[in-house]
Amino acid sequence: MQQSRARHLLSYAVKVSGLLAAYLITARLGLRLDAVSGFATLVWAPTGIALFALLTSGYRLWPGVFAGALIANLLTGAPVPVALGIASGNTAEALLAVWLLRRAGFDRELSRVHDVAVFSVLAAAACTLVSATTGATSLWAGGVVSTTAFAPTWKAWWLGDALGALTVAPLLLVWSRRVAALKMAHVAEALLLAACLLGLTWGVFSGAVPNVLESPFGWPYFVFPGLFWAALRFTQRGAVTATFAVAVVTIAATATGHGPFARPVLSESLILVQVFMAVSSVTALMLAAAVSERDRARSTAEESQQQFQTLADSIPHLAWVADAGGSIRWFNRRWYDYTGATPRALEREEASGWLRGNAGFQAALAAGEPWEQTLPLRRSDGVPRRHLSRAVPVRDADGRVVKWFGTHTDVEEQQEFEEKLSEALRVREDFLAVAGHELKTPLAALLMHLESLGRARKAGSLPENLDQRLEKARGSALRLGRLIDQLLDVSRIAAGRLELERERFELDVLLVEVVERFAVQAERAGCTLSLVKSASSCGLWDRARIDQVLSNLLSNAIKYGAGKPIDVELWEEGGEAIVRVTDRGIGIEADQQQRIFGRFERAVSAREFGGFGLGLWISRQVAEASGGRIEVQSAPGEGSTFTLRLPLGAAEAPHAVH
Amino acid sequence: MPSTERLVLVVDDDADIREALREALEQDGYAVAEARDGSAALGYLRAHPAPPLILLDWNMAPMNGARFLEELARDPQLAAIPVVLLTADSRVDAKARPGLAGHLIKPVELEVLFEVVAKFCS
Repeated sequence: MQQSRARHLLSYAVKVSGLLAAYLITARLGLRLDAVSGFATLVWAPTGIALFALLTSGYRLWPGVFAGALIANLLTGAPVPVALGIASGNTAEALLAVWLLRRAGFDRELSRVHDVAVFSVLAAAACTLVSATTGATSLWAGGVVSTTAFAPTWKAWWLGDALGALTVAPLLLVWSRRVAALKMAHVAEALLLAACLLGLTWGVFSGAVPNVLESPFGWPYFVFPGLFWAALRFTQRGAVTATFAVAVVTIAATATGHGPFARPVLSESLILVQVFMAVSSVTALMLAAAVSERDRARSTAEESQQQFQTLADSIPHLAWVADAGGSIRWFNRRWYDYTGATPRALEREEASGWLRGNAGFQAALAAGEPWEQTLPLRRSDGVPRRHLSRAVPVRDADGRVVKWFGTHTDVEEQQEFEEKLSEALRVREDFLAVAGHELKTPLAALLMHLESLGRARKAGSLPENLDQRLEKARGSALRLGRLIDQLLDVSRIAAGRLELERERFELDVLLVEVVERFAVQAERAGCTLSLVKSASSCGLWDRARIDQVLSNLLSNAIKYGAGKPIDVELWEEGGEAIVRVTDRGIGIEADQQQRIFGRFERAVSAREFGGFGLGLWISRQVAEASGGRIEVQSAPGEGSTFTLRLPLGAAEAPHAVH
Repeated sequence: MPSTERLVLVVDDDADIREALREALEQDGYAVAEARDGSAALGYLRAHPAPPLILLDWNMAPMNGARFLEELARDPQLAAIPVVLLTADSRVDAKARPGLAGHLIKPVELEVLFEVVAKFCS
């Protein structure tokens, strides 16, 4: 802690001493150049040094300025009170300038026109008035200058300080920054520039170039091409260095009585040089700042263009940009890859055809409002796919639409998925309604039987047909159970868990059983059931499942063929056992003949016939899992024939059904 | 011809439901006539004296409950017969059918059923 404090103090002392020394030396050098009244020199680098020191290291270095100015003036022979007054003015000048620059948002790199402007006006032109006024007044009050010498003293003081600020401070500020090394080509150019500039300036100011055309003011403006070259090509560094170099050469030439600004009295010559240098310096700094601003704007634009290009080519969307009139001027790479179009389509204007013909976009174009629509777009393989197309207007500063930025997103799969999902939900909803109805029907019959018997018991008279009625109630309960089994089958098959318990049995025996079981139901429906079999057909199948299939076929035949004869046949052919069930009922429309095997489907509306409409779907799943198949032939109004084919030989390995 | 005062015409395609209704109603002293769909019911009504009440199922084939009601309304001889809907289909909107005298949902409690039946078969 103590140590760091000591180091801090030491560092501060070194800085203040350095500033004091630099101030003192440059002050002494300047005062040797024919100072007006002995104190007001026209070459006053200390102003620039003080500005630089306080700008970079802070206000706290002010004692360096004060002491430097005090000692320099004491050494020049000023009485102590006068020297104190001058030192105060010089210190106030630097402090005020730094304070004002900081408030004005000044940046030390001088790479903005704003920085050059505030520096020139506040630091160089305005604050130097403080020092000039205080200094001249102190000299006058101390009797060092007469009243008549006050004005020239004040003028020289002000100009000297202003030029010191303009040439020295920027030089130090710019070169004190860490800078990138120049490339070889740049170094060569810099050397060439230095040679030309110095040669030209020396030529013009030393009188080496004779004033043959007798220009009344010589050729000082010859230095401008060199200063502009420096500012344009080397910006701040070029401008400050060239300005400083020209200043040194012109002051030196003029001080030795040469060049267009040479006058009999040196101080008068120097005033002319200083005004010229001040204008040159501000001009070069302004130009350099403008060049920097332009370069920054250009690289920002390039960067944002680069970013846009990278973004546009890497997004999964197709993107395009249209002009204010709705003609497409650009597509991203994805667009070309997707559509198979080439950039030449853009030139032929055909690329905008789809947009021009779109009423929705044309309306958005007229209103200047964002547009969104789902459109088909032909993929490179010729398949049209739905896209969500969007466009937003891009406006300039005045709010005018200058272009449109658009994207296409392939939503084909998403839309297909949504359609399938809503269809599946609709089918499921229908199925649940049907299932509810179907389950409630036997439940209603069962409850009526039970309640009715209950009422009879309460009345004290059990009906004579009690057994028969209990049997009917049981029948309804069994029917309910079968429906539940069917629902479970559906979920089992849908989950791929239909497993067959294969055993060898004779199909004809099973068929006789099933037909006999349906005899009563057929009779009630007014159907005569006939069975013709020409083989016993022994195979390795799941007996219960085949029973289920045969029952389903017979139950359908009775349901849809009521009042008409039904034929059941069994024979063998080509290694297969074939069962055919033929009714003469309402039949099935051709376009419905495949649908009836679908899940939750049936040819007639679910509301007209009982059952889930799952029977044929389950039957087909069972037939296929058994290595066989089930088919239908039908004509509306004439009846239907369902054919079940089962393999007789070594059955295929059982496989799961989905 | 027997008295039709306590006769109910049951129109339902499900044989189990028809039988259960018959057993229950007959036990309480009603007579029951059965029809397996709308057209069978119309056939019965045109050949017999009008019953005081028809219990009608909704989902039947070939002629369903809706079409049966239309046919009934069109026949001036039959239009006045009260019809009570008895269905397990919860999606049927009975309020949209002003011609209906009542609406029961299967499964129905027998007490409720008998209340309705008694109202029409005095």
